[in-house]
Amino acid sequence: MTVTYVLILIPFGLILLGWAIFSIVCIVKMLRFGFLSRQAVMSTFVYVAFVTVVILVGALNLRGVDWTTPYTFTVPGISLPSVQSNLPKTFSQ
Amino acid sequence: MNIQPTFPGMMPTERVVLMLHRHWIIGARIFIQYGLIAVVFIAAWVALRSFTTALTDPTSIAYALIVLALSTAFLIWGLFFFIAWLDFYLDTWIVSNERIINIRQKHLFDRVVSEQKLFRVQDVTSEIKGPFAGMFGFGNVIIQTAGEQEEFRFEQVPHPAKVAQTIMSLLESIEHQIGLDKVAKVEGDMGEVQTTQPSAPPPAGALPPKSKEL
Repeated sequence: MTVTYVLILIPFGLILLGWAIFSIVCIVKMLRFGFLSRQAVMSTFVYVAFVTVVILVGALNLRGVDWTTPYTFTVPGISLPSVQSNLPKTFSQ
Repeated sequence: MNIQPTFPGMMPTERVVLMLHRHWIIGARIFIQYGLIAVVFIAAWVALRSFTTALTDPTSIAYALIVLALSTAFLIWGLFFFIAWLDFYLDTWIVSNERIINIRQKHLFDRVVSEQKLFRVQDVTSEIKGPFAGMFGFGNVIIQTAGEQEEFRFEQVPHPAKVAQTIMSLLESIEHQIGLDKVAKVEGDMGEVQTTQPSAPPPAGALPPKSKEL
């Protein structure tokens, strides 16, 4: 079976979607219920900066990957030597 | 410049006297825990670079998978760290010149807010339990009130004795302002009426603590 690398992005994409929803909830809660205090705003800023850095570094590292490269799943097999060629001559009359 | 702290639902005549969070050492514990987990991630990255050939070819599928997995792990780590910090930081206790507000954030989605008028406070106790708390000067302040929720607990707040002292001095100043002896007399009279007439409405000023979202 042949697929392209882009398929491996699907599970990671789903995880990231869930992560993004929780992140937005957290940021809204922190800003709303933290009464916009200095610590609440600073910690939100640090979180957003951290997330941006991780995503940028990840994207930069994945720049060289060609996502359209086909990948073939192969069934593992054992290639045995040909029995016919190794038979003693006395049997090959 | 000293900025007066405010909170939503604050009355025009109200003034925040204390806005308390847990002691910073409790927050530092979260930083240490998540710092150790981050060290594991970084060690995994270094080990993969040093001892395997998986990260030598930046076009291979193994490389793509490792980078994606590590990036996702870091993002989830960051999210859990932020949730732990939020859980720590949003536990807030506010003492104003009129009331006490107890805000408890339990995990991400549970939030309980209760408040009580300051003149209903009956007893304030501070406690420091354990050598660790004694060393860093944090503890609990337990406030007994006459309301439905009889006890308010300020947990792991810095300088609990000073907090208790401040609440007591506020209470004394309120007693002088409104004449609490009169309030107590009225409440006592109403209480007697209520015992003889069970269906009578609750006395004025005997409202239970409100629970609402600030």
